Amino acid sequence: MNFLTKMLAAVLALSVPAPLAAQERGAVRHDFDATQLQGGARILVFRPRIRVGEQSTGGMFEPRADWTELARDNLGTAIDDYQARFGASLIDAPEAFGDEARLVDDYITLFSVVSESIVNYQFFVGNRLETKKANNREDIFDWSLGSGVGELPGAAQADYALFINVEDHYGSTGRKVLQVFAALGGVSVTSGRHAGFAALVDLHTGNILWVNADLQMGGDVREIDGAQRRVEQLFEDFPLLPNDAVAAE
Amino acid sequence: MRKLGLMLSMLFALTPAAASAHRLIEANAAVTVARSDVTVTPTIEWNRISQRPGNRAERWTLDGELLNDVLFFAEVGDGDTLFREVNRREMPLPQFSGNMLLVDVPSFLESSLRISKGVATFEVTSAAPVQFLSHDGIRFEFTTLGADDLQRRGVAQATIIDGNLFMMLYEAPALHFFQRNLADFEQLVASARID
Repeated sequence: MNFLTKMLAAVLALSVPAPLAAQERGAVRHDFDATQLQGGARILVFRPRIRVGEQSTGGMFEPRADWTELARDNLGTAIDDYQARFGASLIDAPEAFGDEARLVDDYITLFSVVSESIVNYQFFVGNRLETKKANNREDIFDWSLGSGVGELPGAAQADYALFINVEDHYGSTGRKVLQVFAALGGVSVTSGRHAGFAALVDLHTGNILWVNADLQMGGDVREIDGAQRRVEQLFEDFPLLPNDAVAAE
Repeated sequence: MRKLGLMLSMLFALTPAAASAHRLIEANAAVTVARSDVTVTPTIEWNRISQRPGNRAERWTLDGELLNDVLFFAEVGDGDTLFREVNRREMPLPQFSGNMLLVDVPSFLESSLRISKGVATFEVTSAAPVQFLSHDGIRFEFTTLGADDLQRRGVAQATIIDGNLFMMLYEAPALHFFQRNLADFEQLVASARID
């Protein structure tokens, strides 16, 4: 029995996931000089991609239009407030139609897949790709969406673009129950996913200059306060100084 | 006691396997792929993803399989699937059949990708005969729309030797990524040898 207890403890210890602190959330490109941003920089802000829904017991995502609508309103207001603090630097990307709208959509989708790869293979230390480990040793952060971003509507009038992506899956009751039972067995089952990705992209090269990406962010985007908190987290360490900070310097 | 034993075995079953690291594939050295006699000699460094996509398969990438996915399949014989089963009961993967022809390979790949990767659309954009591993083969290009709503482009080269399928495949987002590393994939294909 004593042996079994020890075994059980060993199994439990093994199944505890790596400490969350080990997970990085943001990065700045190695050759990016943030002082270029201060002053007259023009940064296009593309309309965020927002998806909110429920996570079934099996972990499948089921979109909910009502929640998405709420999140869109709440996050829209929170981002507007945030934008106001930066004055003329953060400007809304022009409304796009037809092929241009499709191109914007395609790049926002690509951005979300690149962000996911950054989280999985660069930030998550235990899963880092070997070639990325070499980059990390030399302080290289090299991810790009490609120079084609220069064809995005509004790109000719700006130097940078800001991409934002929010995806929230709220665990269904069944998922939460599964989580509790799995936890009893010492196994970690996540209930819900609260992904937030924000990045500053160089419109000439497509290089990601600054990124903040996390699969478990805080703030319930269906609520006004929560959405504000989410936006604060999304822009944590954003390299552009707000107007009041510039005035104080 | 019996209950405890059962619980323990359940825990072991649930505990994720100790994460074996992805392996660095060094440049300019021949390396065997997919546990077979096929070798390739890359000219740049790649990462081999630790989890095998299938019994007869191996996966390489530069930035993650969502951004550049190189798959090697070797000695896929009668009754073998390309990938690991996702849901054998409700969505079984198609099995290779030794009497398949080269022209059947694109649709075999299509149905396999639909199930294993959740690809929503798959369209062959070109197909042509080639020599691959010193045998008559097929090269085809395709586009896919993934479950993540991203348009990807792909290219595959395949041959059937003694009733066994050998295939190399590259798939990457149509924007930027596909073109960026297409030449690196072509180089891998050109370097492929079989003993």
